[in-house]
Amino acid sequence: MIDRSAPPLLEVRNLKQHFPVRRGAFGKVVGQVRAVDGISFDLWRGETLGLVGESGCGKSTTARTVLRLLEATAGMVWFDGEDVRAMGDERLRAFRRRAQFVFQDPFGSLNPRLSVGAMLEEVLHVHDLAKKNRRGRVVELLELVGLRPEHLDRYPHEFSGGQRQRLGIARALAVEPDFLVLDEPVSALDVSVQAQVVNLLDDLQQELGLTYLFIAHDLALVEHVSDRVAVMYLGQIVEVADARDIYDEPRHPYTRALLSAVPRPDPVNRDSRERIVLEGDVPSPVNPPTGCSFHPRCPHFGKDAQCKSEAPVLESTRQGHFAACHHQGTVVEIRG
Amino acid sequence: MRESLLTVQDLRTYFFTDQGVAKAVDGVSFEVNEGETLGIVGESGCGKTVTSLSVLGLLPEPPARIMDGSSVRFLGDELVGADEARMRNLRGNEISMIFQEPMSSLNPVYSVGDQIAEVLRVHRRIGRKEARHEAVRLLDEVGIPAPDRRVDEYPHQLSGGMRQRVMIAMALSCEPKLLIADEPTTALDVTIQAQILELLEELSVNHGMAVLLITHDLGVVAEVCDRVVVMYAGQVIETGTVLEIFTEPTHPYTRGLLDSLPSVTDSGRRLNSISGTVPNPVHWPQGCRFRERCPEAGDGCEEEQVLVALETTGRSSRCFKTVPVNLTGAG
Repeated sequence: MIDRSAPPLLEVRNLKQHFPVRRGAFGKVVGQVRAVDGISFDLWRGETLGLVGESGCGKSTTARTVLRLLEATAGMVWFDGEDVRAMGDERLRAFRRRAQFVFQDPFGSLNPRLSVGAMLEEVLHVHDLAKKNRRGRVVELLELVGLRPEHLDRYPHEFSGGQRQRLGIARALAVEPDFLVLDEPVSALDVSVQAQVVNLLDDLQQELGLTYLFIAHDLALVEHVSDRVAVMYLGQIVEVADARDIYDEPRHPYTRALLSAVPRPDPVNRDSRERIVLEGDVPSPVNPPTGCSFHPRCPHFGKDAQCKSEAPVLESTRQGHFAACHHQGTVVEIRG
Repeated sequence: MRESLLTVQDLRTYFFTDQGVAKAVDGVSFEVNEGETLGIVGESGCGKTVTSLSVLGLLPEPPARIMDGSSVRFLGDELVGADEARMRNLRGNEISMIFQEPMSSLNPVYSVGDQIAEVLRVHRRIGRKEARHEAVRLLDEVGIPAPDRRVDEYPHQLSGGMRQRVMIAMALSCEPKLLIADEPTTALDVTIQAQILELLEELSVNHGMAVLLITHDLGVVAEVCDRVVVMYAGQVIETGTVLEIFTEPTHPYTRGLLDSLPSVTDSGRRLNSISGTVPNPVHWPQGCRFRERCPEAGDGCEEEQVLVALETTGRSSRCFKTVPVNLTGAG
């Protein structure tokens, strides 16, 4: 069980990641891409936090910044009580042993010239682990992710997509982490195989007590795997709540639109379902709209003066449910 | 009975490669009726895209070969073996196709207006000015804001959703009777996907255009299709109306696919997965091709399975355990 009275494993406060836009021969900075623009969240031990949003909303950048694969522009990241942004080389190395990353494209992130055994042994070697019996530990890892010892001498191209993703997970687990960032871990897989990998991740979490930051664009999947869900739009979290809550009672108009846009395998109710089709595209993070960044596409309050001028902050209307909308009370009424 | 718009019968498309003969499409039959939306659904490698490319004769031969005995009829005309002039005239005019990645189907060095106008000038033989005018009208019809300005923009200046709209405008330009859409929304975000699906539905109703939608996404199928063809390992394994497929799937593979979907409304903690992976088209398994992954496999499954018509019209299944009322093989 997740103990929310204990201090969180990961605390993120007002995190920002801005990338300069350069132009001209001398690379003059002419603007900033506000990929992540002031986000805060907590993650408790054993919990899965789902991070959803459309492409370009900053979910992957958030994850990379949290793990310090990118240096943050501003904000704080605390992992198990330690300031991640202030870590020196040695502490950072220790941190990276505890916090691992699983990527979307398992083929692009595995070295094609290393056999599976060599790849996993290298990880152990780098982190100086299992010195006595590296082979044995490698076999153990393969079995942990549902592969067989005879896969040891094979190369990545000999595996199917699902098996490659299992390898990606085995590599992440080699250093015995507490925390895994899963960046679209099953998006590249077929549905039947997707379910296998999702179940594996679930089992591993139970067995090893892992904490997950699960990034995906598939809302149904995120709801399935997460305890809590954070919805991102243009570099900001617009709503965060328990997974059930966010699907049953979405407060933010964007969350509602996103949920209604998910195609459901339910032809019986397809004509009676509420459907909100948003107009236009996501605005550019170089030049985000004033006020609420969602107002130009908002089906309800796009014309409201307050929405145009004043940026809403995350506010809680009930226990553990936060939304950044000036009209979050009203939205529920409209829904009736 | 009236002839369907498109009738595919026993289509077999094989690829002759160094590793052997890949039987990508191995005896596929289905028809598309006028004005309906038919979905072909299946996982990667099941042969759904090769089927659609075979219909339009778009596969390079060699390595591909459409085998003897295959038949693709459009309004009664046989397309397998038809000469290139006939196929050229058919493509774009009567059957159009849109693809998953609009950026790679658009020419980056011409404005979108020029590209739409080109189609019109080739197929409809109209003048430059008129073609441009028509291009603006088409862009407007597919919901592109400020079409008179957008017409002079280049593909890289447009977002993914806009590019797909341009592709649709181009496909519509000759008022085709059939639009083949191969994963048209897979590369798009959900909110944009919803826009494009709505557009396709609207256009198919307004123009009485049939749509052959190829996708791996069962959600998309459930949202827009009238009838569904489920493919596995180069074969059709089940057909039926969208309601039948989703509420009473008969084939264990279809059931497995539906069970492995996480759903927004019901979050049971464990997904039912299908064990194993899709087999290799060079060595399809003997007997029922789903046998090795099937939770219900048993005696009789080592026999080659045929697609059997079920009691309801238009329903069929390639599993002998689904009890057929009449034993007429449908393909």
